Amino acid sequence: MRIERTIRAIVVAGLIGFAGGVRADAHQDYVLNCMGCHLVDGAGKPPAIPRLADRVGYYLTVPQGRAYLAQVPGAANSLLTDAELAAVLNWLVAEYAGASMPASFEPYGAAEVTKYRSSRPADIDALRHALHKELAQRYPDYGAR
Amino acid sequence: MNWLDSWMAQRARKVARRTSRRNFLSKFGIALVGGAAIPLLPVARANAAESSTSRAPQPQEKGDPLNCDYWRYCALDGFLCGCCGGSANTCPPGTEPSPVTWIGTCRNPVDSKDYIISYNDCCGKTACGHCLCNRDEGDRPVYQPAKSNDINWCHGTKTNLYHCSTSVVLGLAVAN
Repeated sequence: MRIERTIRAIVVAGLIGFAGGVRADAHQDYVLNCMGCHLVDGAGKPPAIPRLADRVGYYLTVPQGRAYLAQVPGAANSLLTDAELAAVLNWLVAEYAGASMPASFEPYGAAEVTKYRSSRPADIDALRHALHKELAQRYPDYGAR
Repeated sequence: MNWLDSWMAQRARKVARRTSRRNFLSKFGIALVGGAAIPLLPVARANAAESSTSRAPQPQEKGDPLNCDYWRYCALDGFLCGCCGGSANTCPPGTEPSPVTWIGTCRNPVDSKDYIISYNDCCGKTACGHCLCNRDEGDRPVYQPAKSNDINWCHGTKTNLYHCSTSVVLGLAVAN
């Protein structure tokens, strides 16, 4: 019994350590690759740098919006691997979506990010404007643009 | 010499009767605590208090912050704010720190650990022109804008006039 308990404790400790490590890495990847522009509180500098705080979750509620978050040049062109980018997206949605968090959020997976990155629309800026327009119509607090 | 011995013994007993070890200990204790409290008097402690509460723990450092070789400047491209009336952490008077910045890591030679550095530009005046520093370690071409120092990072400021660059330590980097 004692051995079993010890093993269980070790496994639980390992899982906690692992989860903490992954979270810390995704956070650090955000700091090193995204935070310079989107800022520490996700406020960004709209309209040039979109606001993440209380907004980013809205993208997950419209077609193409979920893909767009992985296809936007800052994300798709970053030096992060697909698995790392998926972890950063999951981290930043959890961290910043706030009031915009959809009722259910299925975390991004590495394979999914691979798919989005390899099928980027030719004119990402047109998609950006179309999404801005749609979200502004749908959500009054999304703001202009 | 017997009279001297007895006189000394008498005096010593008198002193022992009049004073107590506790009295000495309490006085000594007051002196000890009082002495330690003197440097804690509220003289220009605001800066230290701020750095201990609102900023990340700062690393042990060595080197000259006015020299381009200083460890924090490993990926800097610009004028050192320390030579322009500011410091490695602060903008000179009359300029405004850019909230938008580029972020990298530098290895601290004191503990051989990597720290996350934010190169916030100071904006609002023409180029400072002193202490040009161009180390570019880890710098990427401008098509990797988040990792390029060739960009004017004066965004979100009143004007985009570049003056000089700071190197703010955000914290310890975890090994990826």
